[in-house]
Amino acid sequence: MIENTKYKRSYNFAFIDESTKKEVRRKLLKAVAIPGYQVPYSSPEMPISRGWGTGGLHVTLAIIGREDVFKIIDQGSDASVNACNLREFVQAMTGCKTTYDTTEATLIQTRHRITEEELREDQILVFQVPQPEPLRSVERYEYRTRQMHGEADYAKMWVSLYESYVRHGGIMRGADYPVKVNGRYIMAPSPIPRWDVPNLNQAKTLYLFGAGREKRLYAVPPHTKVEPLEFEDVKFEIEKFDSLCYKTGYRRAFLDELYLDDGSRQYVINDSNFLDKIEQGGEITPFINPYIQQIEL
Amino acid sequence: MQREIQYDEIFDAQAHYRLVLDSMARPGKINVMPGMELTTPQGIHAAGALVGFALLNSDVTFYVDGPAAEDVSLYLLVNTSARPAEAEEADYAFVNGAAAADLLYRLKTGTLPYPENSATIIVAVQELGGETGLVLTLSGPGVDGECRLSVAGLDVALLEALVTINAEFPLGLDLVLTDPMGRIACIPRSSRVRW
Repeated sequence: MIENTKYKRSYNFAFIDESTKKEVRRKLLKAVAIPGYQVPYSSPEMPISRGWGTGGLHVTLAIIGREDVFKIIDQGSDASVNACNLREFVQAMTGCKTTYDTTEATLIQTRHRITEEELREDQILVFQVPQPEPLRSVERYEYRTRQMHGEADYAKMWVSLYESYVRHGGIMRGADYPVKVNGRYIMAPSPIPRWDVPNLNQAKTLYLFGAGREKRLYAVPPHTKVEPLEFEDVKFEIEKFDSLCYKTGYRRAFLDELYLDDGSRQYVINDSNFLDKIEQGGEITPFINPYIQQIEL
Repeated sequence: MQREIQYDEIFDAQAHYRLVLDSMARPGKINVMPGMELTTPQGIHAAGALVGFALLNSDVTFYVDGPAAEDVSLYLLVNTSARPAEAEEADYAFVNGAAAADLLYRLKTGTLPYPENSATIIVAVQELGGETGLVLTLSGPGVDGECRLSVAGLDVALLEALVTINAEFPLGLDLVLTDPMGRIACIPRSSRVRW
Protein backbone atom coordinates (compact mmCIF):
# COMPACT_ATOMS: atom_id res chain seq x y z
CA MET A 1 0.00 0.00 0.00
CA ILE A 2 1.19 3.48 -0.75
CA GLU A 3 1.66 5.34 2.47
CA ASN A 4 -0.20 8.61 2.49
CA THR A 5 1.78 11.16 4.45
CA LYS A 6 0.04 14.24 3.12
CA TYR A 7 -3.02 13.90 5.34
CA LYS A 8 -1.28 12.62 8.44
CA ARG A 9 -1.28 16.01 10.09
CA SER A 10 -4.51 16.82 11.87
CA TYR A 11 -4.27 20.48 10.87
CA ASN A 12 -3.18 22.35 7.80
CA PHE A 13 0.28 23.93 7.97
CA ALA A 14 -0.09 27.12 10.04
CA PHE A 15 -3.62 26.09 11.08
CA ILE A 16 -5.58 28.39 8.72
CA ASP A 17 -6.89 26.83 5.50
CA GLU A 18 -5.15 27.89 2.28
CA SER A 19 -8.15 29.71 0.87
CA THR A 20 -8.44 32.00 3.89
CA LYS A 21 -4.67 32.51 3.98
CA LYS A 22 -4.86 33.75 0.40
CA GLU A 23 -7.55 36.21 1.40
CA VAL A 24 -5.44 37.55 4.27
CA ARG A 25 -2.42 37.73 1.95
CA ARG A 26 -4.28 39.68 -0.70
CA LYS A 27 -5.58 42.13 1.90
CA LEU A 28 -2.09 42.56 3.36
CA LEU A 29 -0.73 43.53 -0.06
CA LYS A 30 -3.42 46.19 -0.37
CA ALA A 31 -2.68 47.34 3.19
CA VAL A 32 1.00 47.77 2.26
CA ALA A 33 0.06 49.67 -0.92
CA ILE A 34 -2.16 52.09 1.06
CA PRO A 35 -0.08 52.78 4.20
CA GLY A 36 -2.18 53.36 7.31
CA TYR A 37 -5.50 52.40 5.70
CA GLN A 38 -7.53 49.73 7.51
CA VAL A 39 -8.48 46.88 5.18
CA PRO A 40 -11.49 44.79 6.31
CA TYR A 41 -10.86 41.03 6.31
CA SER A 42 -12.55 37.80 7.27
CA SER A 43 -10.91 37.24 10.69
CA PRO A 44 -11.42 33.47 10.68
CA GLU A 45 -12.23 31.44 13.75
CA MET A 46 -9.18 30.53 15.85
CA PRO A 47 -8.74 28.30 18.88
CA ILE A 48 -8.45 31.44 21.03
CA SER A 49 -11.07 34.13 21.49
CA ARG A 50 -11.21 37.15 19.22
CA GLY A 51 -9.47 40.03 20.93
CA TRP A 52 -6.77 37.86 22.49
CA GLY A 53 -4.26 38.31 19.72
CA THR A 54 -6.13 36.66 16.86
CA GLY A 55 -5.45 39.54 14.48
CA GLY A 56 -1.71 39.26 14.96
CA LEU A 57 -2.00 35.51 14.76
CA HIS A 58 -3.87 35.66 11.44
CA VAL A 59 -1.14 37.84 9.95
CA THR A 60 1.63 35.67 11.36
CA LEU A 61 0.08 32.41 10.19
CA ALA A 62 -0.74 33.79 6.74
CA ILE A 63 2.86 34.79 6.04
CA ILE A 64 4.97 32.34 8.09
CA GLY A 65 7.02 29.69 6.33
CA ARG A 66 9.00 26.69 7.51
CA GLU A 67 12.27 28.65 7.36
CA ASP A 68 11.09 31.46 9.62
CA VAL A 69 12.48 31.95 13.10
CA PHE A 70 9.61 33.12 15.25
CA LYS A 71 9.66 35.37 18.30
CA ILE A 72 6.67 36.69 20.16
CA ILE A 73 6.52 39.26 22.95
CA ASP A 74 3.74 40.50 25.16
CA GLN A 75 4.37 43.96 26.66
CA GLY A 76 8.07 43.47 25.95
CA SER A 77 8.28 40.10 27.65
CA ASP A 78 8.92 36.74 26.01
CA ALA A 79 7.61 34.99 29.09
CA SER A 80 4.16 36.41 29.77
CA VAL A 81 1.06 34.26 29.37
CA ASN A 82 -0.21 35.59 26.05
CA ALA A 83 3.23 35.28 24.43
CA CYS A 84 3.89 31.77 25.75
CA ASN A 85 0.56 30.40 24.62
CA LEU A 86 0.69 31.91 21.16
CA ARG A 87 4.32 30.83 20.73
CA GLU A 88 3.43 27.25 21.59
CA PHE A 89 0.48 27.35 19.22
CA VAL A 90 2.48 28.74 16.29
CA GLN A 91 5.27 26.28 16.98
CA ALA A 92 2.88 23.34 17.08
CA MET A 93 1.13 24.39 13.88
CA THR A 94 4.23 25.18 11.82
CA GLY A 95 7.20 23.41 13.39
CA CYS A 96 9.11 26.67 13.10
CA LYS A 97 12.13 27.40 15.18
CA THR A 98 11.31 29.86 17.96
CA THR A 99 13.65 32.21 19.73
CA TYR A 100 13.84 34.90 22.42
CA ASP A 101 16.66 36.67 20.60
CA THR A 102 15.38 39.72 18.74
CA THR A 103 18.25 39.72 16.26
CA GLU A 104 17.88 36.03 15.43
CA ALA A 105 14.16 36.20 14.66
CA THR A 106 12.85 36.74 11.13
CA LEU A 107 9.22 37.15 12.13
CA ILE A 108 8.23 38.82 15.40
CA GLN A 109 4.74 39.13 16.76
CA THR A 110 4.15 41.68 19.45
CA ARG A 111 1.53 42.85 21.86
CA HIS A 112 1.88 46.54 22.74
CA ARG A 113 5.64 47.07 22.36
CA ILE A 114 8.25 47.51 19.67
CA THR A 115 11.48 45.78 20.54
CA GLU A 116 14.17 47.97 22.07
CA GLU A 117 16.64 46.62 19.50
CA GLU A 118 16.44 48.02 16.01
CA LEU A 119 14.79 45.72 13.48
CA ARG A 120 16.39 44.94 10.13
CA GLU A 121 15.22 44.82 6.52
CA ASP A 122 14.81 41.05 6.58
CA GLN A 123 12.55 41.06 9.63
CA ILE A 124 8.80 41.62 9.86
CA LEU A 125 7.04 42.90 12.99
CA VAL A 126 3.39 41.92 13.46
CA PHE A 127 1.28 43.89 15.94
CA GLN A 128 -1.78 42.65 17.80
CA VAL A 129 -4.28 45.48 17.72
CA PRO A 130 -7.30 45.78 20.03
CA GLN A 131 -8.82 48.95 18.49
CA PRO A 132 -7.64 49.78 14.96
CA GLU A 133 -9.81 52.88 14.57
CA PRO A 134 -8.04 56.00 15.91
CA LEU A 135 -11.19 58.05 15.37
CA ARG A 136 -13.42 55.77 17.43
CA SER A 137 -13.08 58.00 20.50
CA VAL A 138 -14.53 60.93 18.56
CA GLU A 139 -16.98 59.15 16.24
CA ARG A 140 -18.90 56.03 17.18
CA TYR A 141 -20.20 54.94 13.75
CA GLU A 142 -18.01 52.95 11.39
CA TYR A 143 -19.59 54.35 8.22
CA ARG A 144 -18.79 57.85 9.47
CA THR A 145 -15.17 57.15 10.39
CA ARG A 146 -14.68 55.46 7.03
CA GLN A 147 -16.00 58.57 5.31
CA MET A 148 -13.75 60.75 7.46
CA HIS A 149 -10.70 58.69 6.50
CA GLY A 150 -11.76 58.75 2.83
CA GLU A 151 -11.98 62.53 2.85
CA ALA A 152 -9.00 63.00 5.18
CA ASP A 153 -11.40 64.92 7.43
CA TYR A 154 -9.60 64.77 10.76
CA ALA A 155 -10.96 67.97 12.32
CA LYS A 156 -12.68 66.09 15.17
CA MET A 157 -9.44 64.37 16.07
CA TRP A 158 -7.52 67.64 16.24
CA VAL A 159 -10.28 69.21 18.34
CA SER A 160 -10.14 66.30 20.79
CA LEU A 161 -6.37 66.75 21.18
CA TYR A 162 -6.87 70.47 21.68
CA GLU A 163 -9.59 69.87 24.29
CA SER A 164 -7.31 67.46 26.07
CA TYR A 165 -4.67 70.17 26.23
CA VAL A 166 -7.13 72.83 27.46
CA ARG A 167 -8.55 70.56 30.16
CA HIS A 168 -5.44 68.80 31.35
CA GLY A 169 -2.52 70.91 30.15
CA GLY A 170 -1.21 68.20 27.87
CA ILE A 171 -2.21 65.57 25.31
CA MET A 172 -3.28 62.85 27.73
CA ARG A 173 -2.62 59.80 25.64
CA GLY A 174 -0.19 57.34 27.12
CA ALA A 175 -0.46 54.39 24.79
CA ASP A 176 -1.97 54.19 21.29
CA TYR A 177 -0.88 57.74 20.45
CA PRO A 178 -2.45 58.68 17.07
CA VAL A 179 -0.04 59.06 14.17
CA LYS A 180 -0.28 60.28 10.60
CA VAL A 181 1.15 57.88 8.05
CA ASN A 182 2.69 59.12 4.79
CA GLY A 183 0.96 62.46 5.31
CA ARG A 184 -2.43 60.92 4.59
CA TYR A 185 -4.11 58.48 6.99
CA ILE A 186 -4.36 58.88 10.75
CA MET A 187 -3.58 55.50 12.23
CA ALA A 188 -3.73 53.81 15.63
CA PRO A 189 -0.24 52.40 16.26
CA SER A 190 -1.81 49.82 18.64
CA PRO A 191 -1.31 50.49 22.37
CA ILE A 192 2.46 50.82 22.20
CA PRO A 193 3.83 53.40 24.64
CA ARG A 194 4.71 56.83 23.26
CA TRP A 195 8.33 55.69 23.65
CA ASP A 196 7.91 53.36 20.65
CA VAL A 197 6.02 55.73 18.35
CA PRO A 198 9.11 57.48 16.85
CA ASN A 199 10.49 54.03 15.97
CA LEU A 200 7.66 53.60 13.44
CA ASN A 201 9.02 56.52 11.43
CA GLN A 202 11.39 55.73 8.52
CA ALA A 203 12.06 52.25 9.90
CA LYS A 204 14.01 49.58 8.07
CA THR A 205 11.45 46.88 8.70
CA LEU A 206 7.92 46.18 7.54
CA TYR A 207 5.23 46.66 10.20
CA LEU A 208 1.99 44.72 9.83
CA PHE A 209 -1.03 45.22 12.08
CA GLY A 210 -3.88 42.77 12.68
CA ALA A 211 -7.04 43.51 14.65
CA GLY A 212 -8.93 40.22 14.94
CA ARG A 213 -11.98 41.29 16.90
CA GLU A 214 -12.47 44.41 14.76
CA LYS A 215 -11.56 42.48 11.57
CA ARG A 216 -9.05 44.99 10.20
CA LEU A 217 -5.54 44.75 8.73
CA TYR A 218 -3.16 47.61 8.09
CA ALA A 219 0.50 48.23 7.50
CA VAL A 220 3.38 50.67 7.63
CA PRO A 221 5.98 49.88 4.96
CA PRO A 222 9.66 50.54 5.67
CA HIS A 223 10.99 54.07 5.10
CA THR A 224 7.57 55.61 5.55
CA LYS A 225 6.92 58.93 7.24
CA VAL A 226 5.01 58.36 10.48
CA GLU A 227 4.37 61.53 12.49
CA PRO A 228 2.73 61.65 15.91
CA LEU A 229 -0.05 64.24 15.97
CA GLU A 230 1.18 67.42 17.64
CA PHE A 231 0.66 71.15 17.55
CA GLU A 232 3.25 73.75 16.66
CA ASP A 233 3.45 74.84 20.27
CA VAL A 234 2.41 71.63 22.03
CA LYS A 235 4.76 68.89 21.01
CA PHE A 236 4.65 65.13 21.21
CA GLU A 237 6.86 63.78 23.97
CA ILE A 238 7.99 60.31 24.95
CA GLU A 239 7.75 59.03 28.53
CA LYS A 240 10.25 60.40 31.00
CA PHE A 241 11.57 58.22 33.79
CA ASP A 242 12.98 59.86 36.87
CA SER A 243 15.27 56.92 37.46
CA LEU A 244 17.33 54.30 35.66
CA CYS A 245 17.13 50.53 35.42
CA TYR A 246 18.05 49.21 38.88
CA LYS A 247 19.52 46.02 37.45
CA THR A 248 21.73 47.47 34.74
CA GLY A 249 21.91 51.22 35.32
CA TYR A 250 20.71 51.68 31.73
CA ARG A 251 18.68 54.79 30.92
CA ARG A 252 17.81 54.73 27.21
CA ALA A 253 15.09 52.10 27.30
CA PHE A 254 11.40 51.93 28.17
CA LEU A 255 11.28 51.13 31.89
CA ASP A 256 8.75 49.24 34.01
CA GLU A 257 7.93 50.53 37.47
CA LEU A 258 8.30 47.84 40.13
CA TYR A 259 7.02 47.95 43.69
CA LEU A 260 9.33 45.93 45.90
CA ASP A 261 8.43 44.05 49.07
CA ASP A 262 9.63 46.86 51.30
CA GLY A 263 7.27 49.29 49.56
CA SER A 264 10.02 51.06 47.62
CA ARG A 265 9.86 51.69 43.89
CA GLN A 266 12.39 50.63 41.30
CA TYR A 267 12.58 50.75 37.52
CA VAL A 268 13.65 47.93 35.27
CA ILE A 269 14.01 47.57 31.48
CA ASN A 270 10.71 46.40 30.03
CA ASP A 271 12.06 44.48 27.00
CA SER A 272 13.07 41.15 28.54
CA ASN A 273 15.49 40.08 25.80
CA PHE A 274 17.15 43.51 25.83
CA LEU A 275 17.53 43.30 29.61
CA ASP A 276 19.04 39.81 29.36
CA LYS A 277 21.50 40.93 26.72
CA ILE A 278 22.69 43.91 28.75
CA GLU A 279 22.99 41.81 31.90
CA GLN A 280 25.00 39.20 30.07
CA GLY A 281 27.13 41.84 28.40
CA GLY A 282 25.97 40.87 24.94
CA GLU A 283 26.04 43.11 21.90
CA ILE A 284 23.06 45.43 21.57
CA THR A 285 21.86 47.51 18.62
CA PRO A 286 19.11 49.73 20.02
CA PHE A 287 16.78 51.96 18.02
CA ILE A 288 18.09 55.50 17.72
CA ASN A 289 15.70 58.41 17.35
CA PRO A 290 15.85 62.12 18.22
CA TYR A 291 13.70 61.61 21.32
CA ILE A 292 15.85 58.86 22.80
CA GLN A 293 19.03 60.75 21.95
CA GLN A 294 17.95 63.59 24.22
CA ILE A 295 18.19 61.27 27.21
CA GLU A 296 21.56 61.47 28.89
CA LEU A 297 23.41 58.21 29.09
CA MET B 1 -5.25 21.85 -19.95
CA GLN B 2 -3.91 20.22 -16.83
CA ARG B 3 -3.11 21.52 -13.38
CA GLU B 4 0.54 22.10 -12.57
CA ILE B 5 1.75 19.08 -10.66
CA GLN B 6 5.07 20.49 -9.44
CA TYR B 7 3.45 23.39 -7.65
CA ASP B 8 2.90 23.02 -3.90
CA GLU B 9 -0.16 25.01 -2.93
CA ILE B 10 0.97 25.41 0.66
CA PHE B 11 4.70 25.97 0.73
CA ASP B 12 5.36 27.35 -2.74
CA ALA B 13 2.46 29.77 -2.42
CA GLN B 14 3.80 30.95 0.94
CA ALA B 15 7.39 31.38 -0.25
CA HIS B 16 6.33 33.22 -3.41
CA TYR B 17 3.92 35.42 -1.50
CA ARG B 18 6.70 36.55 0.82
CA LEU B 19 8.70 37.67 -2.22
CA VAL B 20 5.72 39.61 -3.58
CA LEU B 21 5.12 41.16 -0.15
CA ASP B 22 8.78 42.14 0.10
CA SER B 23 8.70 43.73 -3.36
CA MET B 24 5.41 45.51 -2.61
CA ALA B 25 6.75 46.85 0.69
CA ARG B 26 9.94 48.01 -1.05
CA PRO B 27 8.93 49.43 -4.43
CA GLY B 28 11.56 48.88 -7.08
CA LYS B 29 13.23 46.02 -5.21
CA ILE B 30 13.74 43.08 -7.55
CA ASN B 31 13.09 39.61 -6.20
CA VAL B 32 13.60 36.41 -8.14
CA MET B 33 10.94 33.74 -8.09
CA PRO B 34 12.46 30.27 -7.65
CA GLY B 35 12.72 28.33 -10.88
CA MET B 36 10.01 25.77 -11.44
CA GLU B 37 9.01 23.59 -14.34
CA LEU B 38 5.70 25.04 -15.42
CA THR B 39 3.65 24.47 -18.53
CA THR B 40 2.72 28.12 -18.95
CA PRO B 41 1.08 29.00 -22.27
CA GLN B 42 2.34 31.81 -24.49
CA GLY B 43 1.38 35.22 -23.14
CA ILE B 44 2.34 34.84 -19.47
CA HIS B 45 5.72 34.51 -17.76
CA ALA B 46 6.32 31.80 -15.20
CA ALA B 47 6.79 34.56 -12.61
CA GLY B 48 3.42 36.07 -13.56
CA ALA B 49 1.77 32.68 -13.25
CA LEU B 50 3.36 32.12 -9.82
CA VAL B 51 2.13 35.52 -8.61
CA GLY B 52 -1.31 34.48 -9.80
CA PHE B 53 -1.08 31.09 -8.07
CA ALA B 54 -0.05 32.78 -4.81
CA LEU B 55 -2.93 35.25 -4.77
CA LEU B 56 -5.88 33.98 -6.78
CA ASN B 57 -8.64 31.66 -5.66
CA SER B 58 -12.34 31.28 -6.29
CA ASP B 59 -13.11 34.43 -4.28
CA VAL B 60 -11.60 36.77 -6.87
CA THR B 61 -11.80 37.52 -10.57
CA PHE B 62 -9.16 38.22 -13.15
CA TYR B 63 -8.85 39.66 -16.63
CA VAL B 64 -6.27 38.71 -19.22
CA ASP B 65 -5.33 41.09 -22.02
CA GLY B 66 -3.56 40.29 -25.27
CA PRO B 67 -3.79 37.88 -28.19
CA ALA B 68 -3.26 34.76 -26.04
CA ALA B 69 -5.93 35.80 -23.52
CA GLU B 70 -8.02 32.68 -23.99
CA ASP B 71 -5.18 30.24 -23.27
CA VAL B 72 -3.89 32.21 -20.29
CA SER B 73 -7.40 32.58 -18.85
CA LEU B 74 -7.98 28.85 -19.07
CA TYR B 75 -4.57 28.18 -17.54
CA LEU B 76 -5.27 30.44 -14.56
CA LEU B 77 -8.81 29.14 -14.19
CA VAL B 78 -7.67 25.52 -14.09
CA ASN B 79 -4.85 26.21 -11.64
CA THR B 80 -6.46 28.70 -9.26
CA SER B 81 -10.26 28.39 -9.67
CA ALA B 82 -10.46 32.17 -9.97
CA ARG B 83 -13.07 33.39 -12.42
CA PRO B 84 -12.36 35.39 -15.58
CA ALA B 85 -14.21 38.71 -15.71
CA GLU B 86 -14.45 41.91 -17.71
CA ALA B 87 -11.70 44.47 -17.11
CA GLU B 88 -14.15 46.78 -15.30
CA GLU B 89 -14.83 44.17 -12.62
CA ALA B 90 -11.59 42.24 -12.40
CA ASP B 91 -9.57 42.15 -9.16
CA TYR B 92 -6.43 41.12 -11.04
CA ALA B 93 -5.39 42.01 -14.56
CA PHE B 94 -2.68 40.18 -16.49
CA VAL B 95 -1.35 42.42 -19.20
CA ASN B 96 1.66 42.82 -21.45
CA GLY B 97 4.03 45.76 -21.11
CA ALA B 98 3.12 46.78 -24.65
CA ALA B 99 -0.64 46.80 -23.98
CA ALA B 100 -2.81 49.79 -24.88
CA ALA B 101 -2.96 52.38 -22.10
CA ASP B 102 -6.75 52.62 -22.43
CA LEU B 103 -7.01 49.33 -20.60
CA LEU B 104 -5.80 50.86 -17.31
CA TYR B 105 -8.63 53.39 -17.36
CA ARG B 106 -11.14 50.55 -17.52
CA LEU B 107 -9.85 48.82 -14.38
CA LYS B 108 -11.42 49.53 -11.00
CA THR B 109 -9.54 51.87 -8.69
CA GLY B 110 -11.62 51.53 -5.53
CA THR B 111 -13.79 54.05 -3.73
CA LEU B 112 -12.77 56.58 -1.08
CA PRO B 113 -14.28 54.57 1.81
CA TYR B 114 -12.91 51.30 0.35
CA PRO B 115 -9.82 52.09 -1.75
CA GLU B 116 -8.60 48.48 -1.50
CA ASN B 117 -11.45 47.41 -3.75
CA SER B 118 -9.22 48.03 -6.76
CA ALA B 119 -7.34 46.03 -9.34
CA THR B 120 -3.80 44.71 -9.08
CA ILE B 121 -2.06 44.55 -12.46
CA ILE B 122 0.51 41.90 -13.28
CA VAL B 123 2.53 43.26 -16.20
CA ALA B 124 4.82 41.07 -18.28
CA VAL B 125 7.88 43.00 -19.46
CA GLN B 126 11.04 41.93 -21.31
CA GLU B 127 13.59 42.57 -18.61
CA LEU B 128 13.83 44.03 -15.12
CA GLY B 129 17.06 45.49 -13.77
CA GLY B 130 18.82 45.14 -17.11
CA GLU B 131 20.99 47.59 -18.99
CA THR B 132 18.39 48.60 -21.56
CA GLY B 133 14.96 50.15 -21.40
CA LEU B 134 13.34 52.82 -19.30
CA VAL B 135 14.96 53.83 -16.03
CA LEU B 136 12.25 54.62 -13.50
CA THR B 137 12.97 56.69 -10.41
CA LEU B 138 10.72 55.68 -7.54
CA SER B 139 10.12 57.46 -4.26
CA GLY B 140 7.54 57.30 -1.49
CA PRO B 141 6.71 54.74 1.22
CA GLY B 142 9.05 51.76 1.17
CA VAL B 143 11.84 53.62 -0.59
CA ASP B 144 14.74 55.16 1.30
CA GLY B 145 14.96 58.45 -0.54
CA GLU B 146 14.91 57.41 -4.17
CA CYS B 147 15.58 54.21 -6.05
CA ARG B 148 16.03 53.31 -9.67
CA LEU B 149 14.45 50.46 -11.55
CA SER B 150 15.24 49.75 -15.17
CA VAL B 151 12.46 48.16 -17.16
CA ALA B 152 12.69 46.98 -20.76
CA GLY B 153 9.49 46.40 -22.67
CA LEU B 154 7.13 48.68 -20.80
CA ASP B 155 5.20 51.19 -22.85
CA VAL B 156 5.58 54.81 -21.67
CA ALA B 157 1.89 55.41 -22.40
CA LEU B 158 1.05 52.70 -19.87
CA LEU B 159 3.18 54.42 -17.23
CA GLU B 160 1.65 57.79 -18.01
CA ALA B 161 -1.80 56.29 -17.51
CA LEU B 162 -0.67 54.72 -14.24
CA VAL B 163 0.68 58.03 -12.93
CA THR B 164 -2.54 59.81 -13.91
CA ILE B 165 -4.70 57.20 -12.19
CA ASN B 166 -2.56 56.97 -9.06
CA ALA B 167 -2.57 60.76 -8.65
CA GLU B 168 -5.97 60.12 -7.05
CA PHE B 169 -4.38 58.41 -4.03
CA PRO B 170 -5.73 56.54 -2.04
CA LEU B 171 -7.57 55.37 -5.15
CA GLY B 172 -5.40 53.67 -7.71
CA LEU B 173 -3.83 50.58 -9.18
CA ASP B 174 -0.99 48.45 -7.81
CA LEU B 175 1.51 47.09 -10.28
CA VAL B 176 3.53 43.88 -10.24
CA LEU B 177 6.13 43.70 -13.02
CA THR B 178 7.43 40.29 -14.11
CA ASP B 179 10.09 39.26 -16.61
CA PRO B 180 11.02 35.98 -18.35
CA MET B 181 13.94 35.40 -15.95
CA GLY B 182 11.53 35.08 -13.02
CA ARG B 183 12.23 38.54 -11.63
CA ILE B 184 9.48 40.58 -10.06
CA ALA B 185 9.24 44.19 -8.89
CA CYS B 186 6.28 46.19 -7.64
CA ILE B 187 5.00 49.74 -7.97
CA PRO B 188 2.21 50.26 -5.42
CA ARG B 189 -0.11 53.24 -5.79
CA SER B 190 1.71 55.08 -3.01
CA SER B 191 4.89 55.36 -5.10
CA ARG B 192 5.89 58.41 -7.09
CA VAL B 193 7.23 57.39 -10.47
CA ARG B 194 9.43 59.51 -12.73
CA TRP B 195 11.43 58.60 -15.82
